[in-house]
Parts: sequence; C-alpha cells; structure tokens
Amino acid sequence: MTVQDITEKLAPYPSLRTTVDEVLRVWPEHRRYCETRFRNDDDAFLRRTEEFAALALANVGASLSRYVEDYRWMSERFLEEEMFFQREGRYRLSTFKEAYDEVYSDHEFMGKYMRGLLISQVIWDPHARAFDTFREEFLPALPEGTSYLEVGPGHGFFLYFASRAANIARLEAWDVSTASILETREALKTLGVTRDIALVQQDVMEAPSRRDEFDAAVISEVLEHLERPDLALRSLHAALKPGGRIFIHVPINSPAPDHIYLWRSSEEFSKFVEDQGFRIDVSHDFPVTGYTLERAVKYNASISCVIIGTRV
Amino acid sequence: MSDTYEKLTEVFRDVFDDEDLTPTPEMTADDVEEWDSLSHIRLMLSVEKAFGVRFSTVELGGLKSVGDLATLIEAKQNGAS
Repeated sequence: MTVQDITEKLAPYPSLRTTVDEVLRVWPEHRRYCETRFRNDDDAFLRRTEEFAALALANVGASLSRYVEDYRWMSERFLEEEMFFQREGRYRLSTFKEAYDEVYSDHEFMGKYMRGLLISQVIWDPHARAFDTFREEFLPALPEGTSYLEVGPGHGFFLYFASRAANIARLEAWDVSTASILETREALKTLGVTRDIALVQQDVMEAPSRRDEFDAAVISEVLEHLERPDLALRSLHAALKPGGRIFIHVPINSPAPDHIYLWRSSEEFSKFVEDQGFRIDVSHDFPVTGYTLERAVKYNASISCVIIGTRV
Repeated sequence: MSDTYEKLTEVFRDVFDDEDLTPTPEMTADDVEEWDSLSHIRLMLSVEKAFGVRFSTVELGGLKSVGDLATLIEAKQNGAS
C-alpha cells in the first residue's frame, strides 16, 4: 500500500485522513508504519476508528501539528526504552518514585508525553483494537442501570462512550492526581459530555473504602504504572458487586518512560488477574502494529492484553 | 566480500530468518519487509554482539543504509568513534 493508496483508503474518513496526513507531513519516515497500520482494516472498524479520531481532533483543537510532533518525540523515547529492554531484559524503571522523578514531576515532559499518547490512540493498532473491544464487547454487555467506575480516565474517551450508553445509570472515575482530574474535566467539556460524572481523587491501591458498589469497572493502561497492581485489582474487586464486570487493558513486554511493572506473557498476566479474584470471560491479545501474534511472542515485542472478567 | 559484510550477512540472515538475504551497501530498511523499528533494534543489538561494539541511540538514528552501518562498525573497531 503506498501513500496514495492510504489517501484513497482513508478518503471517506476525514478525521483519520487529517490525522494521518499530518503525521506523514511531520514524519515522512513513518510512511511505511502508517501503510501497515491501515492495510487490513475493514470499513466497519474504520468507521468506528473515525469516530474516535474525530473526538481526538476535537480534543486537539488547532494544535494538531504540535500533537503530532510530540507523537514523534514520544515514539523516539519509546525506542530508547526498547533498546534498554532488549539489552537488559527488564524495564529501566521499577518504582513509582523513579517514574515521578523522571517523568511525572517534569511538566514539559508530561505535556509532550500526554499529547503524543493521544495521537497513538489512533495511529497504534493495538490501542485502537483495545478501545474497540471496550466499545463493542464490554459496554453493550453491561446490564441496564449499571453503576460504572473507571480508574485513570485520562483524555476521557472511555467516559465519553460510557456516558452515551443507555445501559449506564451512574458514572464515576478515580485518579490519584488532582491535576489529571482537572484535565479530564476539561477534556470531557471539550468533547461535549453533559452527563454528571463524579471525578474523584482516589488512589486505587489504597485499602478499599468502597465495597460492593459498582456493576462495572474499567482500568486501561494503568496497572503497568503501579508498583502494586495486585492491590489495585483487589480494590476494584472490593468496589465491584459480586458478579460485577471488569475491563482490563495492559501492555506486556512494552517498555515506556514510566512503565514499572513487567508482565512477560499474556499467560502470566491472565494468571495474575485470576489470582486477584476474577474469572476471565474474554481475552484478546493485540500485537504491536505489523506483527502477527506469533512473531510478537517470538521476539518479546509489545502485546496489548485485553481482559473482560467477572468478580467471583 | 569483506569480513565486515560476511559477518553482517550472518547477522542479517539470523535476525530476519532468511537464508537468501545478502546485505549490500545500498540496502535500506525499505528493502526488507520485516525491517521495522523494533527489528532494527534487534538487528543493532545482534550487530553489537557479533562485532564487539556498542552503539548510542544517536548513532543508530543516523544510519540510513547498510553501508552507513558497515562504515560505523569499522570506525568503532578502529577506535575512531
């Protein structure tokens, strides 16, 4: 697929086209990656990705160029971490303090990182597929009147779709950072979310004070940032009602500037989830863009593990 | 074929699992289907091991062809960088 072909394939999808055009303008060397990314997408998946891309562009406003430059910067940081990972067989950081000192306390770094991550939600295949699983498999299966909890809402995209789901009666989100909560609030406003959503400053690893309260919990790309992801899942186990559903997304073998907890296989991660008291109902492994699952496993390349489970 | 290219051929064939692959000075990542950013890192680490050299991320970012890589390897082995 050539650049022209990508342009033709994405022609019916203006937000995707706008995003990819800007990526190729800022980073022409990313051409081959983008060709691979969209090569096998069917129209239904492209339509849903287009909806997501439209939300991303609404969030970005007039700063798409800056966001894409930061996406390129972030990708280069990820490759540095990959080099360390391949050399040493572990993530470079292993404690929250290290991640705080290097990443979270550096406002300029965090700004670029968050802007780059937003673009990666569209451009990286595993991110797009994981989100699609949330929309297509997790949300619709929740019962009428669901009380929904999300941990680490970030850019607000999961909350956006949850807020539009008729089967969701109540929404709440936790974040350990008040600054992040403020950003999520702004993002939801920009996305036009009008439903009440309780945004609560809460460390999910703390001893649970909320018990048997929620029908559904979502924790996407959070656990790998924690020293004790077991405590986080146990908190959610307690906060869920018996039989409550959980959506978990974790990247394995996925070095990043602030990833501190390493799972080396989806089997290891699945066992981890079961050990925290969940039955696994659905499990998907989405390999890094352009890789088959077999090749990703062979070379310890990044795989996004998505689990839908039930509190038992 | 020079010693450098002989050894590079072994490395390329192993990393890309292709016994017919023969790197040439003009070859670039575009010429090898599985040569992406992740396999590039695997390739470079294999080259480091095979030649007893070590690359910085800046050096790796500046490589455009196998010819550039061979030149860098030989420079490092001669103590020039």
